[in-house]
Amino acid sequence: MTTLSRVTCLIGLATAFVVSTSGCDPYTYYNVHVTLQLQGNNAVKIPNTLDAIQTCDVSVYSTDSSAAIESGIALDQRTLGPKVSPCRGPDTPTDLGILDYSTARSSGSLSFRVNVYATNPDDTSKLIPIIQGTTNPVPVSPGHILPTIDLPLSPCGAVTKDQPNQQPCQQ
Amino acid sequence: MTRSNLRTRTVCLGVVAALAVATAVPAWAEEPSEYVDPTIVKDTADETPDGVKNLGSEQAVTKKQVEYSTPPVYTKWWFWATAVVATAAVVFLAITPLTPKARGCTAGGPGVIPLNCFGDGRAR
Repeated sequence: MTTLSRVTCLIGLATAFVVSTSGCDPYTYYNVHVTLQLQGNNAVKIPNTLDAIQTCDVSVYSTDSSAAIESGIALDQRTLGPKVSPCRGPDTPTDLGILDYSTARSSGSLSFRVNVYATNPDDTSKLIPIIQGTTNPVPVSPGHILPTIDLPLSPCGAVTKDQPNQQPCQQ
Repeated sequence: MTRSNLRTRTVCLGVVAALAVATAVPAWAEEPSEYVDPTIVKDTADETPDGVKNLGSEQAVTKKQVEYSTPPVYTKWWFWATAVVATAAVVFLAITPLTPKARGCTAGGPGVIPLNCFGDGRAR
């Protein structure tokens, strides 16, 4: 081997190493804008419904599996400090904010479900979802920040005379 | 097979292949010349042919020092350069995760309430 070919080998090795360690951004970035639905047949009644709100969380699902990727992550407002929930009873804003989620998956689609909970009137030690919303599945696209997904939340639960259009809460 | 696994395997194969190429000695560099039987003495020969030993001489019983047509590979600078690069690469890969971190949180700005920023590649 000539010196030139050896140097070429070394340069090729170094280049392959640098390329393999830097790589492209493998993540897909989702922004989910969570709001309370205030209009339509299934709108959130303010202030009655807001008064009951205790907390809220988000779960992430993949079309590739039945189990949630992320389950019951408590929502918090980053600007208000860690662990400050936007779901604070009558102080709950109608525009909860935007979730920022990243996934390293290279295929499939993800959907997001936000649950807002209130105290169960039959068992005050437990919470039950009273407001809920789920996005349609959005395909992953590695290396991209996807357009913001709107997620309006609507009341859910048993159908009553007062709420004939209410949807059952999904588990 | 995940992307990080594929990348790890690619890097390992690249290192192995580069070392193999760098240390290979071309097969055609040492082809022997045409074989001549040293025991055949031609009539026209006027000197002692190769292979015929004078057992009485001191020179015949002296061990001849082996000489290679190519020097050992460890005497080459590029061998040690490759070894250093390969070692550095292995150490770097061992202490550095191949999967990069995700970008910073982008949601936010005027009039926007940023909620959770989480997911793969981000701190819990």
